[in-house]
Amino acid sequence: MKTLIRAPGLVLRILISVLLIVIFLTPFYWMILTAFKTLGEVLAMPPKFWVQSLQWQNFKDAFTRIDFLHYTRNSLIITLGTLIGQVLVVVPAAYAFARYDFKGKNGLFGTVLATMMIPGQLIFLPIFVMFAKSGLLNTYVSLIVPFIASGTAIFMLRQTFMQVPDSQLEAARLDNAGEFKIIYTIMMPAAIPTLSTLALLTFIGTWNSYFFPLVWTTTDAVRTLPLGIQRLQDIEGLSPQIVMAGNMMLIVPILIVFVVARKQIIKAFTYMGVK
Amino acid sequence: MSSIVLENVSKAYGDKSIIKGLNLTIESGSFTVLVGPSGCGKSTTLRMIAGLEEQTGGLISIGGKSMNQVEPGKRNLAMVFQNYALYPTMTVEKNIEYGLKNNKVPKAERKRLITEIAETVGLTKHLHKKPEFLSGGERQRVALARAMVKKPAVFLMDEPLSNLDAKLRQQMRIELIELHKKLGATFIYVTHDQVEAMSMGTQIVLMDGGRIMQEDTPHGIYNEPRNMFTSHFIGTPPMNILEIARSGGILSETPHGAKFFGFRPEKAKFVPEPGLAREEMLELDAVLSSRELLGSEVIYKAGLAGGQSVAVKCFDCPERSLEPVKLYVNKEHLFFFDAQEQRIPADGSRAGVTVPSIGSTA
Amino acid sequence: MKSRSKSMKLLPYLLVAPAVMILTIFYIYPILYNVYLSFFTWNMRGPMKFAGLNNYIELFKGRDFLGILSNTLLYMVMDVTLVMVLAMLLALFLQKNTFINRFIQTLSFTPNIISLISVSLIWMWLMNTDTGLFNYLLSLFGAGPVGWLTDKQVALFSLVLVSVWKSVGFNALIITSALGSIPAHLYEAAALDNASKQSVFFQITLRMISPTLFFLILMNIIGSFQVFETINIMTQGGPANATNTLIFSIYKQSFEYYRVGYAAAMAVVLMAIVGLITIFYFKALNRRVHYR
Repeated sequence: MKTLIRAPGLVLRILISVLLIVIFLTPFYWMILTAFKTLGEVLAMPPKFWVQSLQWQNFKDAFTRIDFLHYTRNSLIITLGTLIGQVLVVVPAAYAFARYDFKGKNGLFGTVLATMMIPGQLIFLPIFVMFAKSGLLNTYVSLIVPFIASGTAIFMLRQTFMQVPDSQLEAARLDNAGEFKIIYTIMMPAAIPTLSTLALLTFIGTWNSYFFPLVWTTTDAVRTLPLGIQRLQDIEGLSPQIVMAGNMMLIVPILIVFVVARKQIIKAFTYMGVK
Repeated sequence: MSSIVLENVSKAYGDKSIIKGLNLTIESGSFTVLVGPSGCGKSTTLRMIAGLEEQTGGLISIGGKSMNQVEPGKRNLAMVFQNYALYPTMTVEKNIEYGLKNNKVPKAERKRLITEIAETVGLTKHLHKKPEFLSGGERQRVALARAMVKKPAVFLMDEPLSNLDAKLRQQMRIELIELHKKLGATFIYVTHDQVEAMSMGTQIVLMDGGRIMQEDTPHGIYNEPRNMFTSHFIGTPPMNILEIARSGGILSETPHGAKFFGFRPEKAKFVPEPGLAREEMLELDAVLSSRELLGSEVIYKAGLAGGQSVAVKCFDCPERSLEPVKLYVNKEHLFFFDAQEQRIPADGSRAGVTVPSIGSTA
Repeated sequence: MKSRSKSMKLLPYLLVAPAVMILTIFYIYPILYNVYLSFFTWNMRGPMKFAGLNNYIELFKGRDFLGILSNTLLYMVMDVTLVMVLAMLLALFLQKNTFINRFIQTLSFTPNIISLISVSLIWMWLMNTDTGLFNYLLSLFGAGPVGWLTDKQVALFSLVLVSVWKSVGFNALIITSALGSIPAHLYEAAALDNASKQSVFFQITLRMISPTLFFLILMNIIGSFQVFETINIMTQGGPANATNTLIFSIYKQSFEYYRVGYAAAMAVVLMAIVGLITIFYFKALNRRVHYR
């Protein structure tokens, strides 16, 4: 009896599961498939769901039609710069907010939290004007510095620092360690999980960043890979196989990171969603 | 020399006063125990000596030098914390080495010292482990080693044994006493456990409400309590304190100004001490109401007329049923306290400060 | 005694100074500067001319802006509703911690870490009217072809679809974690009280996760107001302005027509909307906390 009642439910479950997998997998599959097709296969109707031979040439084309290395190098420089800058700026601030009582602390920390609620895309224009006036347009600085004082990072790291027991800092003080030594020998090692989570979030965010490199640059000098791929679309829009090949090269690094640190990334995003 | 002097030291957090005008001298080489109920200011006192808290007023000096402007790390002292405060991200070796490194001890010397200390406390085979992989006792040893390796003149210990199980605590107590003898350094030890204080200290400082209630040797603090607080805090069970007015005139004569009297539970006997005259004894009618067997000793609770009750502790005595009995206390063992709960000495020689008119007793 | 603490008193300010300065320069100041710019007529090159409220008057008198505003609101309503409903269903469907469910959860989350430009390029290709996969699949059922990105009745909805595909997995993940944190004893108590499935869902499940849901709704509203990448790559605001929304329009007015003041005024309006919604959210949140 019981199995009879449950059977239709189970079939429905399996159907929905398959449907979900198809929905979320198809776009990726279609991108990869297209990237390996010939132009003839791309335009064929009905479309082909498999390819005869892998067209690696598409990747070579994508690589050479735009200055792929130039954009990649910019992406790497800006990602790395943001990571380093964030450590230098966020760690001391989070430490002070976690460990000191000082006049105006609540006000300053409130300001930090408030900036988390301000959508950055709303204020790109005044910042563009500021960069234009100060000659910072088309520099790495303009694409790094605005992002290194992340409110989210300060908030998360402060939570972590607050969990280090007082007595450990006191022990360190008795061991004749100065404040900066305490930060990098006691606090930072204790915050390695949080720091690596933040590094992952920053990497994903910066590598994918499209809007700000678009609106805060007027030349290709410091533009990043997503903008390079858009350029590829502009000049090779009629050859989807080349665009998709380029697109794959943009996605793969993120996917590799995701496969390696899947659990940590999901945890980090969950944390951001429920804070 | 490394005697520690606190002069008129006070500490307040905002309006809340924790320590009020504390004066204390801790002799060089002593094993001084600061003991008292929680919130009495003993830990705050220790932390001010360490420099982890700044006193609101007064002067702290170590070895004759004022410490008021000296950083904790430069006071030539080491501290063992209640939770050990080991650095969780460092191995045992790095934990021990950290202070030496910060004090710019050369590398070869550091290695030698660490090897030596690990040998002493029996940590050699754990040197490359992280604290999380050690047992409670081993962590305790790391904390000790980390303190000892700096060869400080003063060791501060903040309830260092409270996280250990009873058996290990017993063992560590003995080890600490031996360690103190061997090093000859000044030990300042904070605990709320009077047994720990009595068994380890050469000098006991009993505190309550931010003040020192009595500062004495273990013998002195037990046998000559200077006030009701001390008599009540030290001893298990605590001293029996009775209100004279509620005791129905069982005492024929009391010192002038006495409001309370007391005696230790083990001084109450079920039979009169042989060879003692009747007037040399206090005789109490009591009803035994409960019995607690603790191996060699038995503790009874006894109700008295007037609603007061006392504890009676006897050693190696046959079990009694719970019934009315007579209790006898040698009057030599009675203590008297005035309305301010200060001791009125039997001979008037160790006058309590707040008792104004001792001389007019007789 | 004071000398020891003096340097210590300054230290925390030094530690927070770089972060606070950067946040002030790139968040606080630009907001004020943006308001300032909105009172001027300026083409980024010539002199700035004070314009008073002219930019705002032009905004609300002209038909363009109201169309853009209604596009933005329509997009927001469709996006938030679809994302929340589908994410809720997905989270409930994936509630049991089995291998296949974890796989689907990870898979549905993946689009969220991929750049919007990548997602846009893929979907643009899928939605191609002549050679796209979608229209082929429709043709199998004798339907279509649909001008996913070229039909002004459909284009805005197509962009919503892309956004939903990208973010539903993330939202479901958050809801799943909220569902997981409901104490089991509540369900046990309800079972002992013989509560129906519906009443358990509405009285316990939904109530317990409602703070999370409200937070997600707020985040999704703010996020959908900022929609830009998909438009810039897939439709360029077309066809016939059907997908022209606020941020995209601010971008166009700034860098194509060089109307800085006008663009800034638009940004001020959007900021006011977002600010009001956020304030409303926190007010509502406070009241709820009060009730509990």
